[in-house]
Amino acid sequence: MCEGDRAAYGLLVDRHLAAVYAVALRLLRNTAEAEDTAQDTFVRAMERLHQYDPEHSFHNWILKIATNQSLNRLRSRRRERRMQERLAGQEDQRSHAPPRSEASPTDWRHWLDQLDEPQRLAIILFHFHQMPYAEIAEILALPINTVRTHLHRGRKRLRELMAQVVHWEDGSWQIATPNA
Amino acid sequence: MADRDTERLIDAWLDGELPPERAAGVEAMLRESPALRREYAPLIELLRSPDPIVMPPGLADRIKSAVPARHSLRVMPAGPRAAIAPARWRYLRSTLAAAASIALFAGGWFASQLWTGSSNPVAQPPSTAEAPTVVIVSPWVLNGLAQSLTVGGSVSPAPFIAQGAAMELLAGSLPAATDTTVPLVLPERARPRAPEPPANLPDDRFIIFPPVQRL
Repeated sequence: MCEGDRAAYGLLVDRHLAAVYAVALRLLRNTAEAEDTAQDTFVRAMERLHQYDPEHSFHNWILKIATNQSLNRLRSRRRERRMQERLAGQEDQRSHAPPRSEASPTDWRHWLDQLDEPQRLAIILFHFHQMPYAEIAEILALPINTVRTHLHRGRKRLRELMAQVVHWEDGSWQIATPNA
Repeated sequence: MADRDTERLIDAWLDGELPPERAAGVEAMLRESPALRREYAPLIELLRSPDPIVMPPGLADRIKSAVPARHSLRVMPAGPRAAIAPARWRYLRSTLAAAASIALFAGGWFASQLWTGSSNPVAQPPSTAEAPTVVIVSPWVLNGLAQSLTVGGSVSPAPFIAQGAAMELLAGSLPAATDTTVPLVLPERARPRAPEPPANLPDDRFIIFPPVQRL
């Protein structure tokens, strides 16, 4: 890599790192893993730069790589958990339930943790990262209409969950009762 | 609780699919209806402003120093391939591979038909002279070779050629009617001749079936 390339690479990192790290952190909910994923994303982007089509947005392209890297980590994390449960002989219906949230109800993570994974991913990518349906569908390997369905159902579920405990007064959330 | 139509309308607004005047109408509706505001405001607030992400200090420098030295910032040059979207390019490549395979297979089959037609022992009685040696070029193997060339990239041609060879072996074990090999004539060399059928046996290609009796 020549000096000019290194400078250009630094510029790309400065410009896109915040979004890449945010995607990774929102999907993985673990800062150490998000940092590793951000690093893997940039290395992978350099390796595959010849595949990037300059007619499309570089930002969306690198976010796609970051999302795929995060999903790979989520899958391997799930595999490890399943294996640990199997080894401990504790595999039961709890493994199919979404993980219990440790975040407080004033934290967006608390609410997103209540959703199924495809709904959570669709909401994060569409609303928090403004990714178009077609790209979400490509990343999640789902038809576009299925992505829309996940998004609508996820929003409906969030609305129902929040309506039970959250009240909107004077421009801020008021938590009525702590969520068990 | 919002009725079904209102819910769909607000969903379309959240999706950003409404034209500006209808979007303004939905926003006014959400502002003016306390029930809708109560139901939707927390969700809208959550979707619009998730917690800000705090970047860990030093992460950018770590990433900048981690890039392997061998990489160069060269973007794919604009050309005919650049004009095609990656997904479409994959589809086009598979279609080309399939078309090339079919064309080669059909060409091989026709060539084999021509060969067997011209060297048919019934049409042309076998001569006693020594025939030239024949090397068989299998369309199955050619097919495999074409697939590997068309797929290109880092794909090894070995599996395709092996597949072609396996198909050739399989085809070789079938009756002669399905033999699709293309013989390629080489210069004079000794070639073993097939034994001639006994003269007193009827030709099995002209078996006469008894007439079907209609009931």
